This record gives sequence, structure tokens and C-alpha cells, in this order.
Amino acid sequence: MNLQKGQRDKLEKYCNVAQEIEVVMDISGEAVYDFSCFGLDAQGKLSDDAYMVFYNQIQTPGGEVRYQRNGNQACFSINLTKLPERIQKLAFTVTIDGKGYMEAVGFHTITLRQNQQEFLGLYLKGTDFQKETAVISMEIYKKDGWRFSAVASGFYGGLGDLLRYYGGEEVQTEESLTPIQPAVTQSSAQQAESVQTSGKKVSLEKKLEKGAPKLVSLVKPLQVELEKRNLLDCIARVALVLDISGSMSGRYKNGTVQEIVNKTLPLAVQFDDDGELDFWYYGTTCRRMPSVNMENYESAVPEDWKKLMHSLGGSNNEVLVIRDIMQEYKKSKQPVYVLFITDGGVSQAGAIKKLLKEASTSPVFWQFVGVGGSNYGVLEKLDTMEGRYVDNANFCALDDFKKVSNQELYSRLLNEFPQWMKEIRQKGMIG
Amino acid sequence: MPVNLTKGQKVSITKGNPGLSKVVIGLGWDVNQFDTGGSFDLDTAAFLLTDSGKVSTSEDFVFFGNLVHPSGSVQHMGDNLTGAGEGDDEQIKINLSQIPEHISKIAFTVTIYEAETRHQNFGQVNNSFIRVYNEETGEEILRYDLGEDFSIETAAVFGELYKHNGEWKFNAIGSGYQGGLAALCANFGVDVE
Repeated sequence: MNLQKGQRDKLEKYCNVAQEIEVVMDISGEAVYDFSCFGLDAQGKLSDDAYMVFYNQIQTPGGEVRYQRNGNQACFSINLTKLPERIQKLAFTVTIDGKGYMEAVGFHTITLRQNQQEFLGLYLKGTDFQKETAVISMEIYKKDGWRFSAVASGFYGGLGDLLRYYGGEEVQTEESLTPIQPAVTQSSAQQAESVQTSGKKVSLEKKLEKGAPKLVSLVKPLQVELEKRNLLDCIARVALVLDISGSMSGRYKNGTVQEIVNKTLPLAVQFDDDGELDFWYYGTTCRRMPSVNMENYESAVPEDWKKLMHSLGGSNNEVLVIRDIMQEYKKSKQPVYVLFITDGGVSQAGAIKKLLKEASTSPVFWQFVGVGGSNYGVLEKLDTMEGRYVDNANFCALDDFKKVSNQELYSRLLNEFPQWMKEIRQKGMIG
Repeated sequence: MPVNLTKGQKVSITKGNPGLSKVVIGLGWDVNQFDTGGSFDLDTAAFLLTDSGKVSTSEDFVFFGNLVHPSGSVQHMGDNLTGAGEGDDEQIKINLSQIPEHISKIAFTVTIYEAETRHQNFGQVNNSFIRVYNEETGEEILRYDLGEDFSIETAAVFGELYKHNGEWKFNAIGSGYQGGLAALCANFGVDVE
């Protein structure tokens, strides 16, 4: 039988639940896909890591769930009646490792088979999805007998979101209530093993060593500032916005802008589980660029940046890009840290104020950074601006970018962010 | 002692409760916290029906656009509730003694707003229930947990109050329909533009 998204029913109507069932997941597309099966307790939580089956742990302790991979197909062989009583649900998921979204897949199918016979099938296409990077394709769960649910829904925040959904709640509370243990001293291998501690499993140093060794010298100064501010376990998306209006030309030419990208990237590697900087250029108009990561960061400022400058127009219009970013993160469940680099000449004070007030109910923090010495207009007055739900913006001058030490740099960039994090948690603006 | 009903079960709410007139129908549900499909908006409604199983005027359809029945017997408490009656997402107040004589049945429904464009259905809704409690004492009279018997539907009749030999009884319906609120309106004889 072909299932519709959302369909639920008793499994016993379609097969013998006492015998082995195969859950076969297929996907086509350009990205790197990982398949997992989470064995969850009655609260829907992954209380026992041994019941997460994926490429790195191909079966459960009793072999009740076994994983096999063949190209873009994964097959989970399951014995429901052999599962321990505490495992009440099996969730079959697909996550995208690295770049890509579920909307770009050709197809994604989940079929249930017994004795080589398919008895249920869910056939999905890219159009069934949006910007998900983690999807719960199917659930098999116990509720007056075993049932299935063709969930086919997911999260924009990848495996990290999924892990939080299946057990990260304790992590969230710890993060907000108690001072964070400095995680730096723990060996990163140990941290990598513990799946439940969400995004911070591999240390920043380890990640940069592997992915962007040229940036390793930034780890120490950043870590000191993070530790001071209790931000070591903070999870957030990081966005970088670069002014590419005419007056910035000199800074593009002498490499300052590329330097800014280099120094910003570790923030994304630290805060965001996909380690990517969401990235915008703006002049008279604005353009969202491919995200910056450890692989491509050195070409974030293209060699022909002049061409980009011309195509985006010579003046600076903050309003358009702010609006575009607000739109992008309207539905974000994670906090977002936006670094907004400009050299001033900010003129549309009224419109910017109005937008920031409107944006103050979203979990987005705006860190404006001035690199041009003067005329920052409304940006300088952000701290005292009234009428906002939370104080969602800060301004700092980095006119001395070339001279300032890395630690001082991160200190300025992170100055008000922790306070805002605290406030949005208190106001319940994030999970 | 509240009664927990199963699908199809019927129970009198006035028998053994002399003088009971004001009751509150509480309806609740959980929706999944996924990014897919955007946010959920579930709406409750009450259809006041005659013996024919239809409404007699469009005012017999009490919903977010028509919160109070002209008789005053049925009052929809609107979308925003302030925690009164724990766990209910929406509530409808009923004054049994004010229900017009020709009304023999009131159906309580839940529909998913813009289900089709948002690609949503009851498969993404969990732990649905309907309960009836005494408005004056707060005492719960009955509760029906709907379970998971429907999923790809976008509208559902959770339960019905109906008159039987001078008593008001509750029927735990738990039936889903495809086609959203429009399908229910058609079923109950409400003209929709």
C-alpha cells in the first residue's frame, strides 16, 4: 500500500509484527546523506545511546536493529518483539552531512518489507520538503500494539536539531541554569563519543586543525573570551553581512575584508553544528551568497570583487539586507548571531530603527561593527533605543581592526551577545 | 468521578447531576515541533443540529467567526485562552437550559486551518482529547482521549452532545474527514461561499 505523508495505522494489519521487518530507505540527490535509526523510550527520548543505529554503530546490543548501507540505500532489519520493554519507538531518519537541503532531493522513499515482499511504501519527492537538513521519515512505535507513522517532517538545523529533539533537553537546561564546565580540557575524542552533548562534541581546535589549519591561532583568544562569557556550550547560527559599497574598496583591496571573514569563521565553527557562516553582501541591493565554511572561506571575497560591487550598486542600503535576513530567520528555532560589517554612511535611521524594533521578537542578535571611522548614525545609538522586546543589537567600532589583538577583537564582538542569550531564554523565545 | 470514554461510547451527563446546566467543553491536542510545514493552527467549532442532522440557519454554526449563538446557549471562548481549565487548547461554554427546543444535537469539531496549502493533517497532531466539565464546580464529568484512529484527515468530529428522553448525553465520535472545515460545513448543511 502507498502511504500519504502523516498517515498512521496499526502495523499488524499489514504484516506479522513478530517476524523480522526490513525498513529500506532510499534517496537520490547531490548531497551526502546519512541514515539513522533512533531507539527511543516512552518519553520519545534517546535514553540509551546503544539504541542509536547508524554507520558508526551498525547494530543494537541484542541485534534487534541492524543497519546495512549500499550506496544511497540503507536497510534496517528490525525485530520489534525482541526489543527491550523500555524501547517504545524506532525513528528512521535521514540527515544531510554538509551542504544541501531536502528540497533538492530527487526522491526519498521508505518501504517496509517482510520476506522480500513490500507491504508499505512512502514515496516522497523534493517538493515534499523545504530547507530541512534532518528528516524523520518514518516512525514505528508502541501504542496498543505496534503502529507506524509516516512522519516525513524534520528540521532545518541538521543532526544537531534531531539530537536535541531526541534527548537534548537536559543539555538545554544545564546550559541555561548552571555555569558551564570548561570543555576544553576534555579530550576531544571523548567528547566525540558522547552523542548526547549535541553540537559541542568535537573541540574547536580539533575542527580547525582538520578543516582550516591556518586559523588555529585564533582558537586560544576566542576560547578565553567564550569561557569568560559562559558561551562554550552556546549553540547558535552565525551570519556575516559585508558592506560592499564604494567606500569599502580600500578594505577589499588591502585584504582587510578577507581577514574579517577569516576571524569570523571560527565563531561559526564554534557555535553552529554545521560550522557554516550564512553570508550576505550588500550595497544598494543585497545578495545572499553560498555559506562560508572551512573549505571555501579563503575565496569568500572573490578576486573580482569589483564586479560584485558594481552589480550590487555603489551606495549602502542597510534596510534591504536587514529585511532579507529577518525573513530568512523568521522561523529559526535556534538563536542567530548576525555580524554586520559596515564602514558607516548609515543614513536611513528611521527605517533601521523601525526594523530592529520589529525584529526584536525574533531570536536574532545584531552585532553591528563599524570599520570606517565615522558616521555610524543610528547604529551608535542602538543601546539606548527603546520600544524593543529585548535589546537585540549592539554596536562596536573596529576602526583599528588591523592593530587590535585577537582577544580584544572577540571581546568586542561578543560583548553583549551573552546578555541577549540570557534574556531570550528567560522570555522563552527559544526552546 | 470522571468517566473515561472510548470511541463510540455514550454517557449521560445530566443523569445523576440534577441541576447541571452550565458545562464547558474543553478540547486539546499537541502538534509536532518540526520546521516542516510551518506552524499549526487548529480551530474548534460547534454545530447546533436539528433532528435532520443539519443546522437550520448559518448562525447555528459557532466558530471563530461567530463566537456566540443567538440563544446564548453556546459560546466559543476564542483562540486565546489564559490557562483557565488546564490543558485545554480551546473551550466552548454550553448552557444546557438555554439550548433552543428544536436543537437536538451539538457536534464539536476540530479542523486544521489551511491544511492543504501547508500540507498538514491529523497525522501531525497527537494526544487529542475532548472533555466536559461543570463550569460552576470545575468538576470533570467525562473525558475522551481520541487515540490515533485517524491521520490523513484534516477535519474531525471529536464528540457530540445529544438529547435523549429529556437527558443530555455525550457521544465519543472520534471520526475524521478529509476536506477540512468546508467538508464539515457541507456535511452539516452550512452554506459556505
